[in-house]
Amino acid sequence: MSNNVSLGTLFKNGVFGENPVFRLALSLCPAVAVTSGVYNGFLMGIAVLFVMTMTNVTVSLLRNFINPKVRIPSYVFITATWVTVIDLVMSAYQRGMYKQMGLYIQLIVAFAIILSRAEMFASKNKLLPSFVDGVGMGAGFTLSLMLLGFFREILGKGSIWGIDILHAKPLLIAIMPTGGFFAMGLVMGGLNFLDRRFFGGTGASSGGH
Amino acid sequence: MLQHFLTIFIASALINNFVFTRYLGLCIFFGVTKRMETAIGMSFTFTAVMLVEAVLNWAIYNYVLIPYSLEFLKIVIFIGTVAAFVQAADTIMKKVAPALYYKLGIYLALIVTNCIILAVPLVMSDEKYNFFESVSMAIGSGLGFSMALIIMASIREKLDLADVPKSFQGLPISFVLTGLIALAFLGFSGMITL
Amino acid sequence: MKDMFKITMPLVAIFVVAGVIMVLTYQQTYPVRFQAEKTEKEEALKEMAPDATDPIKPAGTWAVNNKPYEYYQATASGKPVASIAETAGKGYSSYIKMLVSLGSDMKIKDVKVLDMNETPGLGDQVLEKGFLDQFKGKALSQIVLIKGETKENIQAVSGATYSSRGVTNGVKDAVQMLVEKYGAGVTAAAQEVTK
Repeated sequence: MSNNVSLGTLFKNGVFGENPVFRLALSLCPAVAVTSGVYNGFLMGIAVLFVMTMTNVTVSLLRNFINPKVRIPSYVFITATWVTVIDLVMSAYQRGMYKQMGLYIQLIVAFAIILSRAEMFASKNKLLPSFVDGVGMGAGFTLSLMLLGFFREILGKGSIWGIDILHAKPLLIAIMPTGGFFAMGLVMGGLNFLDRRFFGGTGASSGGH
Repeated sequence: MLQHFLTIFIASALINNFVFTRYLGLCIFFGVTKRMETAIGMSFTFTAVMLVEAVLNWAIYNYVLIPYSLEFLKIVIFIGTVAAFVQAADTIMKKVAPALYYKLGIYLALIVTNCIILAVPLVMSDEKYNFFESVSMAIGSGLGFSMALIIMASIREKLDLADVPKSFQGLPISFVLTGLIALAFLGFSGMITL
Repeated sequence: MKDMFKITMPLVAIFVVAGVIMVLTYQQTYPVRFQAEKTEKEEALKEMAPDATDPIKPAGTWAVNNKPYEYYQATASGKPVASIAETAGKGYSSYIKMLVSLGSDMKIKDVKVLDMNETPGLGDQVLEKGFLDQFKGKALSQIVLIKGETKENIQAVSGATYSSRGVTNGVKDAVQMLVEKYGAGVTAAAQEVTK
């Protein structure tokens, strides 16, 4: 990626062009696991946004300092540090939600998306672009989770952000554990369809990890 | 006593199956199930690494982290042992068993980014399992994951022949399929009350 | 050798700095978490007996499924207003842990679910207000699960029969225990009824 890309473009790229969940198909586990509501998705997204931004910033700051031979262990260690920080903070201030999501917060450390951004972007770019890239990718991730949470919550519980709106439960299965898989598949397919129909994209998110 | 371990074993293989009820390891799950052969290779490597990791991390957690009340460092320590072990296994296998390395080596590299490998010690430390409980859980989860991979691979081989709408080809239809299997696995949840 | 040093030094430096960051965060958050855990329990108990003015005191332990649970006495200016028991009932896929409070008239004041792991979307429907509110004001003899319309007893949530049964049994056991301790002469009712 060249250096003269504007920061706005960089941010947009994270949210739409290379949306981590729907386009890159990375970090799918939390997208299925914690999206039973908009709020859960939001919290998880914020945690990822924090870890991502901080890891990007740290890696970018230290990019001339870390020997390429030991870069992967260093990146993993940096990520693990920030995950520990957000884990400790969330378990203290968001206790109710942490009970449900604790395991997934801790597992942010194994997210391919974070390591791949550190390796592919932050290690080659200056502080500001790396920061914006982290925020953009994190925001893209948060929005994807909230979108999934929105569909699942409105269909399964008839509410949004915990506020009852429909006073009915149109499709109970959406909120059930398996609903995450269906929601993910349908939303992903739907976005592919829109992309093909209106933007002429190939819409191919054929796999990856 | 034996029954207790069997309960944990079955619970982690079927009821709390990592893929279908805890939604972990999805990246690998969708990545390696395109062909049966890779799915089986992954199953073997994975179960073995999982077992070693569980034992290793159990010992570190109980004999180092708890005595010095450093539990909050567990994320860093667990990911560290996973990375170190995979690196070591990679080097040793290349030297000692090149034939095996040629077959399973690529899966070894994939394992580092698999969240299940990390989730087993994390769950283990949350539930305060003792040594044998941890081992039964590791084997149960490993076999549960293998089963998930093999089920999915055999379905996806058939899926190639099906006429799927263009937008849904690849990942989207696989997600819907996994949802259907998960729905079936939901039936196991009433079998044992933990 | 010098090369080796050049590679490892930054790595060690990173480890040290990261360690310091983690320890600092731990020190900052530990008291908050500790306090939150404590007040959480106190607040849950307080909600169960809002008319208690004195601190709610533990009165003893009892066993459900071979696990110890506590019960408490709530008093207002020295006079007992309610007794509260922790309890658990076997649901579909988990033990449902609850708090039950019983007024001095031996009628249920409130039921609150503390922790459970029932199927989201099905079993967790018992958490919705309607089901738990049915218990309010009921006496021991009325705690019978009915699969069908009822005002007198407890109506099971359709789609969550096992979980409803878990809650009802847990509450019944707790009330039975509290009644035996604090109000003699009342016995439990019949088994569950399908109408």
